[in-house]
Amino acid sequence: MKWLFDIKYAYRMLLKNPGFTSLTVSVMAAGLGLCVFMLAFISSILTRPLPFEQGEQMHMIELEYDGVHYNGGSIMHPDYLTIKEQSSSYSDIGAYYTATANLSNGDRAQRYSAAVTEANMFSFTSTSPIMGRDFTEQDATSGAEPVTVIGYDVWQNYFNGDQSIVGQSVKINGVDTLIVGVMPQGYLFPMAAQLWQPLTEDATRVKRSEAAHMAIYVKKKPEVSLEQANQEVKDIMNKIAQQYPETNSKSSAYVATFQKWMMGDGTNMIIGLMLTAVSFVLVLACVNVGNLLFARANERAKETAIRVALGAPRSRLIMQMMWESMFICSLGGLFGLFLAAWSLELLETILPQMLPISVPFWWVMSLDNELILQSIVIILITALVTGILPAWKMSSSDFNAVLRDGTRGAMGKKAGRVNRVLVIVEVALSCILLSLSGVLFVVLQEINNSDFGANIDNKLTARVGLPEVNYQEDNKRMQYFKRLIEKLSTIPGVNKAGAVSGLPGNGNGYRAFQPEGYEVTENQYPRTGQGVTYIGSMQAMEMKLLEGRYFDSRDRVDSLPVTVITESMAKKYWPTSSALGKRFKYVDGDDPQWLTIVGVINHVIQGQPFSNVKYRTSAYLPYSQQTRRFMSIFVDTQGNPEQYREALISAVASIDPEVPAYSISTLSERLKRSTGGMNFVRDLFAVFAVCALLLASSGIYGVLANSTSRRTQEIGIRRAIGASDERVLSMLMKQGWFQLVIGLAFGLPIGYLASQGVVQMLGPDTNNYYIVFAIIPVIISLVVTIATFVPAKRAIKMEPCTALRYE
Amino acid sequence: MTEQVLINLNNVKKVFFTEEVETHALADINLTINAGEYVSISGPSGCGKSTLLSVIGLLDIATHGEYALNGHQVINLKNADRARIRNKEVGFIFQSFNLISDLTVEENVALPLTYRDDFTSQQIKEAVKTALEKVDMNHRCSHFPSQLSGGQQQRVAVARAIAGKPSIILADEPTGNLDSKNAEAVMALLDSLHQDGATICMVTHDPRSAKRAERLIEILDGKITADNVISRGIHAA
Ligand SMILES: Nc1ncnc2c1ncn2[C@@H]1O[C@H](COP(=O)(O)OP(=O)(O)OP(=O)(O)O)[C@@H](O)[C@H]1O
Ligand SMILES: [Mg+2]
Repeated sequence: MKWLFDIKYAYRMLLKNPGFTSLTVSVMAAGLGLCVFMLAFISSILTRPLPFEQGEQMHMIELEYDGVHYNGGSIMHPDYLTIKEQSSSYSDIGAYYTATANLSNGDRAQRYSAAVTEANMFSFTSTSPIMGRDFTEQDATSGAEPVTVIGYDVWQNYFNGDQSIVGQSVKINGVDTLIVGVMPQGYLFPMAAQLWQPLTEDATRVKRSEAAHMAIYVKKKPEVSLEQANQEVKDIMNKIAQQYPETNSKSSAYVATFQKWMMGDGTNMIIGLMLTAVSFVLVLACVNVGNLLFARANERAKETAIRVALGAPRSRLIMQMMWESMFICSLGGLFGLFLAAWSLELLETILPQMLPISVPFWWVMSLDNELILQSIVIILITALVTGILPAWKMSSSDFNAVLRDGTRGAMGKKAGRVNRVLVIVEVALSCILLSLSGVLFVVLQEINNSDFGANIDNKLTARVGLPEVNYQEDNKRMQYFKRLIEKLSTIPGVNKAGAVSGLPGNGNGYRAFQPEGYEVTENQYPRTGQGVTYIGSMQAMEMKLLEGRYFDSRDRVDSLPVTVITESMAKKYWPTSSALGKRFKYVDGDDPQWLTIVGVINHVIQGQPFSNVKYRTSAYLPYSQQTRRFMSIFVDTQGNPEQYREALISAVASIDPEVPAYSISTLSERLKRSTGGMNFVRDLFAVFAVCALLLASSGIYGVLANSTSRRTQEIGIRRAIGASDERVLSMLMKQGWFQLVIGLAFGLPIGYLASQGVVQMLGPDTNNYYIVFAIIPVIISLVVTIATFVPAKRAIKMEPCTALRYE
Repeated sequence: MTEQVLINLNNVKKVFFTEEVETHALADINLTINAGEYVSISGPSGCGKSTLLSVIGLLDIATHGEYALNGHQVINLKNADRARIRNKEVGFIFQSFNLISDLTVEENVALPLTYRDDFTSQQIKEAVKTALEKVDMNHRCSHFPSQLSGGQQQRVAVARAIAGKPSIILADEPTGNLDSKNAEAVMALLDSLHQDGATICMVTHDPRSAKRAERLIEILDGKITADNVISRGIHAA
């Protein structure tokens, strides 16, 4: 009941000062909103259980090779069978691999992503088809009639939602396949599968080295811990390694949640960095609002003194202040929740366009009950943290002095010191965040402008995949690309066309090799990229020839195996003489013939344009000597490459209607995607930093406005006895500048150290990012100056006599 | 009549330590106030009147000496206990009213009662009503202090002081900020409270106000220099 009395009062005070209230509420909304957003983001990509029965027990088992965790479906089929047989940690287990499915019905071909899976996948997820049937054991025997279950999207888009689709036949990769079922909307298990085919491989009939590779999905028994499961699978893999050292000597396996499996190892660091940043922002918000509350409590020192004189218990005084921070934080939290929900929705729509991969189905960016509950707890803690310090300080101050002289300045000295420290902390924190995002910005700018070693402008690119059944022989594949490239070159407006196994900025196989004459102890082989290019493609891509020659018609399947390497590779392995005529061979596969170097081109980035990947060397082989079923094709166009989309699609279809062009995009777009994740992190940090700066400036403004208003009388007296406006102004400004300098003195070094994490991860070529540490102090100084100047100016605008009457 | 000792100060000293100087605000104060007395304290500015009142009202702690309130030693009490006693036993009236500007008249009077455990909301309501009736401010109960005249504000402050039925009312120049007419009204109010049995201890500069009390204490340089009981009869009429 008596609480009501205090609550009513707190409410009234907030209504009475709408400026103060909206400032503090928006500060809290920014801090809490960001925090909730990040938590939701992390929860949806990393920690939320899969939306299935026993989803929290669903895990992946994947290959660990030489200590590195793989996630591309890399466990050998026979190894899977051994794990299945010998493990006891799981209540359900199955395996799948992803494959490309080119659907064609005679006149239209479209490429989808398929999961080739054991029959139990749908029951594993306790999901039934909305039409037709599940896979049966019968479907999974080798030699059975090919069947498929299609996803909702395929049904809607490719088959136009045909109600009688079940029982119809469609060509998948050239094979007539019976459609037996349709899965419900949104079902993409195990990650982003659009249709499913039963796994019919018989592992017992092939050699170990030729066995299919797959990923294993398991349902862990609840009583088994993740560590136990990991130990078990490692033990099993060790035994296999002892039995088959030639294939398995370095292979082990690991168990991880779907989320961890998908994200890989590096994510923990990024997530950690982000969490640190949001907590910074939240701390900043708390400090800020605490500061503002404190400044205002100071103004109300007299009132508190009266309450103390009337015998208010300390707890009540503290509660009184707590209610206000509770109101502010709850209101801010509410707005923050809305903001977070809205940005999550936004993120969900833009994410697929930003990432190089298809978005896994569990990435549902939304707030769930648990998150909302967590947010409420955070809001309460925030309210506590924000309110407790000013409340404590206030309630333990020297009330008698306040009562006695009745001026507001009675606590000025002590309170002033605390305020100054708080402002310094804010300046330092925003400096740290700005450093991080600034450095990320500069480094990514550099990365985004990387020289890929090729002309990436005006290129429209696509992937094509030749179905195995029709393109088993090398000369069929050669024929196909010969005709395709001729056809592409004749599109009006197309200058040149080409085909490569991996476009610049995209990965190529990174393989162990042995330069001729090098003594290499076993397993210490150096690695280099292996790309395959169709004749003329290097020229079309403008990969500059530095020495020797490009591939030409001399390089036939039966002629001397040749290669063109990058300058980086030449310099690294043949530093003293020309690399031309030198030989090397790849040692990790079944193609160990010697390759003779006939040309050297400039360094080409194959992979992400940052970290060590950027410096990876490459060698290229002519398509004629190393055919592939999957290639990237490109056309160099006049004008906007996007306009050639239709022409490219129909050119590809005209060569073979069963081979569709897919992943069609301009090369620059594709490259943007490869740094998309990083750019996303940068943008997120930029949002943090802008929030931090806003918080800091509003905090500084609020504190200085409060402290000047507390000193109004003093300022009035100073001016009454003849101090000039400039003098008063400079006195007030000095106070702000002093805090600024100290804040920067702490913030800049810490910001520098923090940003070294980013620098190490991305490995920029230049030290351009140092400029950030010159710009940030300028920005912060500017903001602090404005935040100081506005209230100071207001104080000297008042007539001295008014100021003196000001109580 | 049986004289019940309400306040007993024994060798009380109060020294303020500031950066360089020690100020001896109170030196060797010995003072006893009985229940039902109406005491006025006067003396030149800076002699220690307000300090004495603060010590009596437990707003401040004596540097030295003993102090018994209602028979209990209160010198070494913890802050929380002092706050509790202040709330229950002492009613303050200040020169500058010291009402809380963002609380209504009613809420200002209720404020000290909300700090107590032995009052239910209903009881608070009734106590507030009675107190406001006594000072004749019932008709202004939902106004804010800024909407009242100085005299009215001080009457509300009086109501706040008496609402909890304290053992003693301490008033530090209660008429200092008022014109003579309003001052007279407040003094009359104190008179009538006294007649109803309240113990009052009032600091005043004004000799006319001082004479309304039945006991006159004079202080000079922190020492009591005179302590005269005036006959009750004089102002009774
Ligand atoms: N907090 C304090 N710190 C230091 N000295 C103080 C403090 N409070 C009071 N004093 C000193 O103690 C002495 C007594 O002060 P006090 O306020 O009791 O005087 P007073 O009799 O009430 O004067 P006035 O009639 O002007 O109100 C003064 O010399 C004053 O300067
Ligand atoms: Mg005084």
